[in-house]
Amino acid sequence: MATSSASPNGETIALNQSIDLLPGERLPEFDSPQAEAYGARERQTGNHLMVLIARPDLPPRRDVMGKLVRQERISMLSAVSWGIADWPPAGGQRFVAVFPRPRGRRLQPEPGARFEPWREDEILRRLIEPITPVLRDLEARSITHRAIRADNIFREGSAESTCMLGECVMAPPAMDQPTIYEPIEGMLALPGGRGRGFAADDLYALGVTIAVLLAGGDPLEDMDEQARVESKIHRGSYATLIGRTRLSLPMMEVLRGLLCDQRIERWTLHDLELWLGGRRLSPKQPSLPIRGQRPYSVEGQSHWSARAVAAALSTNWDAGVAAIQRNDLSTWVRRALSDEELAERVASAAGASAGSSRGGGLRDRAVSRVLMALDPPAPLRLRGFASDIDAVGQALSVHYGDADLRQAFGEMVQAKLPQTWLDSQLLSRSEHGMLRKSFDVMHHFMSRSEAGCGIERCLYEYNEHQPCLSPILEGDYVSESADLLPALERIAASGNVPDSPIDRHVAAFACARVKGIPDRLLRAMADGDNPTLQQLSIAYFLAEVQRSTGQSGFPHLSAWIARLLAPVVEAFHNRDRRKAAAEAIEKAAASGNLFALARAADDPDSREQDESGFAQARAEYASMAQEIAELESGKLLDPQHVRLRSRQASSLVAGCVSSLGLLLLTVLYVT
Amino acid sequence: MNQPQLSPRETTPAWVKALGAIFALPILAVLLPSLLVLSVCLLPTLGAYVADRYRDKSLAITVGMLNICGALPALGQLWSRGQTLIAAGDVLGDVFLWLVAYGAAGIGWLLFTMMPPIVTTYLSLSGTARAQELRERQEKLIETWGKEVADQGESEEPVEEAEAE
Repeated sequence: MATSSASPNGETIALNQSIDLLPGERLPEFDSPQAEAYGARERQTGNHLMVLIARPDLPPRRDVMGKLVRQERISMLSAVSWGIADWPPAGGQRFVAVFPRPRGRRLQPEPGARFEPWREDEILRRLIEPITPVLRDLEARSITHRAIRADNIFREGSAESTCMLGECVMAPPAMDQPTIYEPIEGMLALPGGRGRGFAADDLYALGVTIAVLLAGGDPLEDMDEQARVESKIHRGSYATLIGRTRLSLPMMEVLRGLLCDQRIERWTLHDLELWLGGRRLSPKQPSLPIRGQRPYSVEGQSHWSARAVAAALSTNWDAGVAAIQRNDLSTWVRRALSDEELAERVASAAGASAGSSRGGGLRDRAVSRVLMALDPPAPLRLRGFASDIDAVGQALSVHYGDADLRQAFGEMVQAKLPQTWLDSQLLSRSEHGMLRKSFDVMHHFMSRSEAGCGIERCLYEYNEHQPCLSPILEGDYVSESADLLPALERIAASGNVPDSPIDRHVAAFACARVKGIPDRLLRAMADGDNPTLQQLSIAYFLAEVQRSTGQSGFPHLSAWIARLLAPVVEAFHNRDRRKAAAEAIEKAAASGNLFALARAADDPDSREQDESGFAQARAEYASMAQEIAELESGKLLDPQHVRLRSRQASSLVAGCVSSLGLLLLTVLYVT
Repeated sequence: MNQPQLSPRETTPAWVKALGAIFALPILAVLLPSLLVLSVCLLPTLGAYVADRYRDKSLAITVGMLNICGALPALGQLWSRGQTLIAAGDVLGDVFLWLVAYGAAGIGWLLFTMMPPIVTTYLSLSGTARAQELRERQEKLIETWGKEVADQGESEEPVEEAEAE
């Protein structure tokens, strides 16, 4: 629900009655990759703030905002206030978050920009020392930043001052991280599929930031994406990022620790604090993958390890399919890597598709399973879709606009590839059990096609703060169940209403946010053969939302629903019942109670009586029609019938006349 | 023309016939003059009975009832003169009484002959009134239940359309 109101002249928009947003004051230098920055002002003190306007299709990290609110002592931009505002420059509602306005500039003006390299002592004093407590604070709150990079770190003030981390809440975690800042697993995933990760991922990003500051820009700017991945796999991140740059032993030590590619071997925050305290640890040596005796060629490029082969095949899916058809991967693993067990796993993963030229979908799944066998910790991949196992839902949210990725996601869930990924892990994590259950539920949603299920349900069920993407709600920001009915009320009040207030997105959103909506309503809504039941179920569906949110007073929405219930009224055959039902609906609509409205339209006894009465009336009508037809066809004037009636009539008349005559004669005779 | 089926006739037991004869003979003996007069006056009824080929014998009933009515004056004359064969001869000699009895029978015959056109007219008028009444009831049903009540499925034409055609 919007928490803002515009001033009479439209120059300011009040947020939560304490902050004035200034839509006329654009601050492009403070833009986040997914959010534009504008000026803002604290009402009481007049302090200058900035407000970031979130993209309407991405879920912000509101849970993180809540955990970090008013934490002014840590060197990090954390939101002081947030909410949904009517934002005139965007022409609709947007989620906005207000931050203190940074006093200094970014360490790197923009991604990829060159700048004066930093000295080691500057890095230690101005970056590592102030940032380490922030990371400790975040870890204590079970938060990962996942946006630590040189262009998202601000100077506190002058050029010589310390640094503060930028915001990390306006987009899903790690979405905006350039691949260089990500460990190998993160590089292999889609930007939206990296997930919240671990504190170790923030430490890795800090290590990369140090490397960038030492180099005065991107140290790998001459390498393409594939080469960066290949280099990190075969040489390790430290050697890739630092290369032959001369460093002091302490700096080498911290960078080797932070840039360790094995998450479990990477320095922890505790190691970093010990290092800052002066304790020296022996530099970590990179643990590189086993190099084969001979390479495996993918599209003319030679790859020497199973992980490199998997990475190459995942970025060149057709080559992966061709490899499955050739069925030579397990042979290469056996001969080049001398790993019989891995060769067996690869052969088993390729399964029946190995050597076959048929079955596109089956081959894709086989490629996916082979990639899991070759590189178990790598993201879950199917065609272009690549996501960390923890971030499958998030990847769907970020890349929902891409039809190919949506298709791949659907196939992946239907084929239970996430469960296969979990089975393929050599090291099982405690949360894998819960993940498996979660993917089973996801599979259940995907296997049902009615509104309220399908891919849309996955989108909202696995992204807690995902705003509803329904075209019906365009211009409204609906991210919680309490936002839905007010938004529909506004649409109803505007007069420009669509055919139905519920489409697949609204249904899925409501089902995900409102617990306890009966399944039978979803099935009834999908029953296109019965419009009466369909409209009734829509009314009951919205009534369930109203019951759940406890809201009231939606006169326009009620009137809209009442109009939709016209087929329900029309379904009554009896004119009196029809009139009574219309009056009951009108009365309930005036009250704004959607449940009463649905009940007014839904009277099974009356409907049953109407149906039986109609059947009787129809039979009676048919009988009368038949009789009329017989009369008009001259059945009464049939000669045989006329003769029979004439004979009867003549006997009767004769009887009457003779009786009368007998009476008269008797009277005459007696008198 | 098919005649109505005869119902199986039950045979009367012999002792009933005998008992009937024991009672009938004295009566016949006492009422012989009356029976004589009646048998002559009711000859048209006998003729109608023979002429009527239908089992209900409506012609015989129609003619017979009026014929009996017409024979009553002759019977009255006989009874007023005493139950004798002489009186019966006198009565049978009265042409006027013959005329009354046979005239009444003729009226019966005439009634029977004129009844079909009358009945036809009546049935025609009553059929039209009945059809009108049924139509009004159909309209009321449509008013209450809508035009759907007249739909009898795809195989049957609505009555209105059939009428229009």
